[in-house]
Formats: sequence, structure tokens, C-alpha cells
Amino acid sequence: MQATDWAQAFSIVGGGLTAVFIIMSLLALATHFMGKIFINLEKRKAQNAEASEEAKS
Amino acid sequence: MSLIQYHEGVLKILNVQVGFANLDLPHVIMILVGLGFITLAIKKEWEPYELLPIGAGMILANLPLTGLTTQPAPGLAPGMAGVLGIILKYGLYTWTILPQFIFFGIGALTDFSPLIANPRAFLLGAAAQVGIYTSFLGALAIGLLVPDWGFSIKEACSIGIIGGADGPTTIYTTGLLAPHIMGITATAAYSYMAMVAIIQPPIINLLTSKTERQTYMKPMLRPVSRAERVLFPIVAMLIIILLIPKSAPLVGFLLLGNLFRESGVVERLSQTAQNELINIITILLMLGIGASMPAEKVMDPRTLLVLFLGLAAFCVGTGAGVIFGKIMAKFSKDPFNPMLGAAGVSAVPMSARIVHHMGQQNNKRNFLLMHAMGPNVAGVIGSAVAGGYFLGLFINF
Repeated sequence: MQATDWAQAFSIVGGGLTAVFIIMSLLALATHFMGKIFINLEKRKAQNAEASEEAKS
Repeated sequence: MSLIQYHEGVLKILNVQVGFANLDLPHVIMILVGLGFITLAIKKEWEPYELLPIGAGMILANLPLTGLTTQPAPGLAPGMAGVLGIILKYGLYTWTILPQFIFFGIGALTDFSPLIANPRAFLLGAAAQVGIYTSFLGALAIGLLVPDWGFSIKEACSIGIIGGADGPTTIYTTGLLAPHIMGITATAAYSYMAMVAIIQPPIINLLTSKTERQTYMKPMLRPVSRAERVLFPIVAMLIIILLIPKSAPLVGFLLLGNLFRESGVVERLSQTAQNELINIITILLMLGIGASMPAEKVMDPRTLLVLFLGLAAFCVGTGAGVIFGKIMAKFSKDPFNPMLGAAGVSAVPMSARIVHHMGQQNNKRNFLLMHAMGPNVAGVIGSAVAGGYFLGLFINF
């Protein structure tokens, strides 16, 4: 059994945790902003539909 | 031929060809373990789709003289390789394609809407991966205490990944980093997934107060449009794979399966991935996992250590999720139940169900299932990212 390289081991832990948290945070942000864009689009669509109905009437 | 010669001849045949004459104690123990798995699957319905074929594969692999686990090799006469050996060699050890197709089916089965509606659940899915790294260090520390039982760094990565509570990720990562312990790590991952209802509640109770567990959350999340559901797998795939390319075999297939589901234009393909494909691959993969545990590989004190470290990883992951949930509750504008953090391990949907059930036990008005599904599916992505990170360190393909 080879002796453990503890410096490598701790760098794997540090790097791994950082990578997981960064990627998941980026996904959270991307999903959040994607949601905002789509909610606004839906709102605009609804407003436009309302406005066109009002114009018709 | 005299009667004595005939008798000796029969005995010789019996000795060489009859299984009973070649059965030894370690194989008997493994056959009993296989029977135990089958019993748990049938009687308790603990992960029956996984534990039943694993148990059957374990029994078949430990019956003597069957040749079922003989792997194809250069020089081996045609027809001499066993069916389980072929599954092991091509499905798991050499090409490792089976876990990826399982992920494809899981993607087609998964509804990411609860996660898209509540993106902060991604952070709970990340926090629950802490167990992976704790057990990784624990596995290496064993070598300090008992040098003969120590694990290499690659083995430690494979043991740590059990903490993600994700079978295919565990199988894929171990298959590439430490194939000799794949059977035991995969079995540990599936067994702990089956025991979520026993493992998680005490940890949640220990780390949260009654008031915290009673925290009421509105049951409904915002509706998610089809466009968001279609765009999500594409955006997530690009972000994850561009940052951790080695996670592509898992994350890519998971999100590809989900894109098939959400696109709505390849219904037949999506249905095939959700049903026939995942069922066929489950049979092959689980039989292969069972067959990868012949007594000579498993009867080792280190096997118990792997099981213990895997359990520790799962417990620490649950605990880390809950603690992160408590931190989020402190900063959240709306009431936030910290138990949701426990659902960050990727035992889908069992962890979410446990959190929901505990939520109702503590406050009958609470309906946490949809809230818990968010971190639960985030955990699947989180553990695949963690597995991809380990692979990126050691594998070049």
C-alpha cells in the first residue's frame, strides 16, 4: 500500500467541494434568470392580449 | 471394469463436475447474502428492482463450476464466455455503458419542474454532497490506523461517491476508478437508498428542533412553462459539461433523456427510455453488479469498511444538507423548513417522501413533497458532478 499523499487528498476535497458549489450556484442563477425572463414574457403576452381585446371592444 | 474402478470413476466425476463437491464456506456465505437480498426485495419491498436481480446475480456468480462469470478474453474458445462475464466485461469493466443508459432513462422519468420553480434547491443538492468528501478522507485515514487495510486515492473516491446515494453514478465512477470494489460500492449505494426511511429521520431529528420541523411552507410552487422545461436540460448540460467535461457521460445522458421527455415531439422515444430501455438495462446492470461479487473478491475485512464508510458518507450528506437548510432558513424571507436539506441526497424520490412525511408528522398542514423534490433532483445532478470531478482527476479519455 502506497503512503497517502495528504496534500493531494485535501486538494481533491477542496477542489471538489468548490466545483460542486460553484456549478450548482451557476445552475441556480441561470435557472432563476431564465424563470424571470419567461415570467416577464408571459406577463407581456397577457398584457398585450388584454390591450388588444380592449382596443377591439 | 470392476465395481471399484467404476465407483472411483463416479467419485472422480462427482469431484470435478458436481457443484456440491466444490462448494466452500465463503461461497455459501455469499449465496446466503444473495438470498438475504432477495428476501428483503420480496418481503420488505426494499428497492426490489435493484436488490432482487443483484441477489440473483450474487447467487449465480457464487455457484461453483457454472462458468457464467467467465469473461471473454483473447484465446478463449468461442462460446466459452459466460453471459454474466460478457455483461461484466462489456457493460461494466471495459466499456462501462450500462450506467449511462440508466441515467438516460432516469432523465426521461424525471420532472425538474420543482427545481426550476425553486432554484435555490440547487444549493441544498450541493450541500448534501459533503458526505462524499468526508468519506473520501475517512477511507484514506483508515490507512493511518491499519496500514494493511488502507485504501488508495482512487478507491477512496469510489467509496466516497456512495454518499451521493446515486446507484448509476457510483457504478460508473467505481467502474472506471476501482472496478474491483464496484460490486460492493454499488450494493452499498442501493442498500442505503433502500434504507432511507431508517437512516435519515434520526439524523433530521437530531439536527433540528421541533419548531424548525413544524415550519409551514405554502404547498404550491409557481407553475413552470413548457419552454422553461425544454430549455433547462440544454442550459444545464452546457454549463456543467463545459466546466466538468468528464461528467458528460452521466450528466449528458441524464439531461438528454430529460430533453426527450420535455420536448414533447419524440414521445415514443421518451416512453421507450422511461420503460423498455431502463427496464432492460436495469436487468443487465443489476445482474452484472451481483455477478461482480464472487466470494474471493468480497470476503475481505475491507468490505465491511467500505460498507461502514458508505453509510457514514450517506449520514454526513444528510446532516450537511440539513445544516445548510438551517442556514438557508436564517436568510430566507419566506418561512423555510430546514428538513428539506435532507432531500439533497439523490435517493429519488425516497428522501423527498421522508421529508414530506416528517413534515406532516410535525405539522399536519404541511405538504412538503414538491418543495423536497427540488433538492432531491438537484442531488442527482450534484452527485454526477462530484463523480465527474473525481474522474477528471484520474481518467483521460
